[in-house]
Amino acid sequence: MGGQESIISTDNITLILTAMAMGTLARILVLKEDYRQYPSYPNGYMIHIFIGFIASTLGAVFVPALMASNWTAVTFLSLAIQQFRDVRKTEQESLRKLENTEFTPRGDAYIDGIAKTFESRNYIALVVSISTAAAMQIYKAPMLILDVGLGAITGFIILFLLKRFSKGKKVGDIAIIKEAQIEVTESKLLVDGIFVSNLVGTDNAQKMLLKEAFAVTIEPNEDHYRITLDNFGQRKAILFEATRTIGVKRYHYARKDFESGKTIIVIVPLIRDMNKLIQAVKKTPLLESVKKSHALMDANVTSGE
Amino acid sequence: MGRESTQKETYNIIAAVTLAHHKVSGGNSFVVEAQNEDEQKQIMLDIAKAVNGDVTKTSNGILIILKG
Repeated sequence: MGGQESIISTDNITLILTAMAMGTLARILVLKEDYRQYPSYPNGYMIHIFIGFIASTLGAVFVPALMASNWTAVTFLSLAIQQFRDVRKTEQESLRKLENTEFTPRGDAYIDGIAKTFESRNYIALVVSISTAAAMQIYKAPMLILDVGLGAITGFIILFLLKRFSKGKKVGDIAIIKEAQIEVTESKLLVDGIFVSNLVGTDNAQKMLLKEAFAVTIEPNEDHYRITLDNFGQRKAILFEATRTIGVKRYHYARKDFESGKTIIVIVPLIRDMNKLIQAVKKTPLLESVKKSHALMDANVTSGE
Repeated sequence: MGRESTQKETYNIIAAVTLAHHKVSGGNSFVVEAQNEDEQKQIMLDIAKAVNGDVTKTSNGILIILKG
């Protein structure tokens, strides 16, 4: 091997650095810290940005490696996939370990959804990085600034498309969330006349529920959305987001009423803010594992009979 | 408490606080007979607080302390 051949060209350096930067930027842009406060700041952030950087690097060197007829470069991608699967597993393990420390557990379905999202966001970084590198390699603009600009534009377009594709729906998109009235008769707790529990036999519990509890009803817009909202994993996720947002002093219930199709959430919160509770319920993501396409259930899509 | 930690909700009956006219026989739970309704309420509160349990009142007036 001659010394000259082993030195990487300026073109390749530009291409690799631009692709790495675009991939890492893509990971940062999809890493949002919203009302859910997850991933945690700053260490959770750093871990995910760094893994995104590694993903981008793998994507960035993929195109130059292929151009040099280095076919083993394909194995880079399998390495990346293995690494991202580990990200999913690590997230799952970490969130499961936290289950006992939360006000209410997230539930396996929600944990699975979060872990999948984290895995897929690394693929976004990888694909953006490969697309940026590929665009720069294909067009080979004469000026450096044009070359980088073209790669960046391609990267942003791919990021926009992938972000749109992977965007999930929220509970507020398929249901109406309303404040509800709490009643206590003897040891029974009723919300809008619907039975919730009969475990409130003490005077203290009754007083606390009447004075401090908040209740909301979640009414599906269409009858078939009940399949999603009645799912135990989905209800756990809703209850988790609600309690995480306004805290729990004592009681919390998530019940479904089969007659009306409503789901009921009752909490004695730490922070008495009904608006926050309604917003938390509305913004709870619809879990991928419990979603069902009503249209696909209707149509005879594949068999043709 | 209404904690749904598992899909199957299981509650254990910790104790039953009864009055003289209630007939309770057998079972694994701790049964306490109170002299009057005030004492029944007080005993129920003492036990419920000690075990951090929930209370339900049956239609015939027996107070049952449960824990999920």
